[in-house]
Amino acid sequence: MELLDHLTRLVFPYALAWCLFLLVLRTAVVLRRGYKVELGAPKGSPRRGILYSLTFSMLPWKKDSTRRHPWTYAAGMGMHLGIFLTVLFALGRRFASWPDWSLPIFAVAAFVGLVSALGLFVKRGTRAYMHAISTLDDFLANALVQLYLLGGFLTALFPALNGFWRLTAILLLLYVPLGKIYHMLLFFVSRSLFGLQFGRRGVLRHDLPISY
Amino acid sequence: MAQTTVAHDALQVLDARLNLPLTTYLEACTHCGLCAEACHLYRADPVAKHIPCFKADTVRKVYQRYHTPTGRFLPWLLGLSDLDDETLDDWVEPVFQCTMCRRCSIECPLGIDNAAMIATARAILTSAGKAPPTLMEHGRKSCEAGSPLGLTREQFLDRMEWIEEELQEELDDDDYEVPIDQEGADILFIPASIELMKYPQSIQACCRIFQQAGASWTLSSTCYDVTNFGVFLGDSQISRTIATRDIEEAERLGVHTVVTSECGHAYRALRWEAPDWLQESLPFEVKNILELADEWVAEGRLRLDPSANPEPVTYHDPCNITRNGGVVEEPRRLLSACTEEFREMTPNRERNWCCGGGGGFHSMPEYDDVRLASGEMKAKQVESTGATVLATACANCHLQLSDLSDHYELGVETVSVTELMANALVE
Repeated sequence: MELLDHLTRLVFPYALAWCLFLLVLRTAVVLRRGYKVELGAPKGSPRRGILYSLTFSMLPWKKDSTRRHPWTYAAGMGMHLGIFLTVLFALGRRFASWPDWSLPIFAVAAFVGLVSALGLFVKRGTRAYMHAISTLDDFLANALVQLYLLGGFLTALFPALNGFWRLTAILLLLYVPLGKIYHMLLFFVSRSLFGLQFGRRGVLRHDLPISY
Repeated sequence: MAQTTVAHDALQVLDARLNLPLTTYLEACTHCGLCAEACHLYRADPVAKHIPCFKADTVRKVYQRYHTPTGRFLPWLLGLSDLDDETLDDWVEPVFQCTMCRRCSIECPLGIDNAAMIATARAILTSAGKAPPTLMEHGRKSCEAGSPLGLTREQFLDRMEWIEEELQEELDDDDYEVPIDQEGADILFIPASIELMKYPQSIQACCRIFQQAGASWTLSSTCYDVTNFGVFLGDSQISRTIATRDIEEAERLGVHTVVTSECGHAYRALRWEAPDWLQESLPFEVKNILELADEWVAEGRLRLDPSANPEPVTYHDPCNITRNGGVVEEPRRLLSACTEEFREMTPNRERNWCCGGGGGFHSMPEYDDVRLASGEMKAKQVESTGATVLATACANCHLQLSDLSDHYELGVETVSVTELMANALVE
């Protein structure tokens, strides 16, 4: 374990640099395409559209799909919350040690994330319609996230396994800029563009009087 | 990496359209599959070709293969291969069996506009000469003859003369004239050929509304069809040609406002997309007839008597008017004011189910079975309201809803909103 800890300590900065460099490069390629504001006179507020798109429009009762697939919605939320808290756990450890009472919280978060990701992996592998739209990237990205969450979960309980967790982080960092995990950055761009257009066209305007 | 000729041509079409939104949508999809059940086509027939992201993956895979490092060096990771003629043939059904209604965008956790990618895929297929022949033919006729259905100027004038006679009788006024080619009018009203040929009563209702409001308006004898088949083909050149014709005629007549009839895609095209195709703001306002009528009722220029329409009425939100156009509350206010019992469908507004008639579906007879099957969700929605009258504000939806009423034995009368309004107008 000590050797693994030592080796991963050496490799980690390079993996991080690779990830950041390619993410910046990939994002620059996307952003250089440029955005032109629609020239048709606005009917609604683009700002309100973006705000709505990034907040209330994602609430579960706002979508048919979440009503029809509550477990998928829960798994999606659980996985992303688990990832967020596990990354927070990792970042915090870089600068100081988390208090003892917080470790079970991070362990639970990572575990919930892990189970959720596993559930989504199984769904992708077993449902015919999911199979039809899936590529190797879809499975591999999920598997690497699961591995990272497993590392976080074990390290929260057994700090000596830190080397293993760092190894999973290295694998993830190497992969992030290559595949679909890149959506973590484009999520905000994509939802903002959605809100911008729908807001501008007045589609999401529910503040209008409904009678004369 | 050597490209096939097919790939080279496809990339030329794709590259001309790549901007921040399209690139983001091409890059951001996670294949979560939540778009599947947002689609009325998939709900009616749950097969892969009807999953919105599967359709969008056609053009996404081209982008990934030729524009991303992963696609170039690790194509197997993303399931990519070189684009060839056979692959393009495989695109045709998924890409053209779509109404581009954008309901999947509302449901997508990332807000991805699949319709933008499907429009690009259509553009590639049209450029390769692989779009359905009837759709291509309608696009050609739109450009060359001014109407996708081949409606001539003489036929248009003949139809308007008939409408004029009907209105003279209705108004008990032998001097009433439908204004045509009147320079200096405030409003240019451009109908759609489907209405002129199939639903003239809808055009008659619009004329009645203009007359009752005392509007200064005109039709044009050279620009009498607002339909824009470039939208269905994804063909920017055809879209621009048709929009330019409308714009030049509005400028020649010196109008302040161009009003589109109850034609969904035409409103979306001229109101929202034409300025971007032409890269200039239009020198006049573009309004849908319902927006204008709504303003006139609010101003007291039009008065409505709801007792004229006592039957329970429900309203189908046309995707291009509502979800893609922003005309959401206007038809509701109008229907509440001109009918005794207006019943909402559930879901409605931007979450409304597409009827299955958009995206050029009506011009592709080879897909008639798919089109009728895809209306199942809409038929269920209509049935559950218990309404006997089904109003809508789009000629394509009107056609489809009439077909659905017959096919699913709904027993509803399908009408346009303006018809109900005209029926309820009071002096």
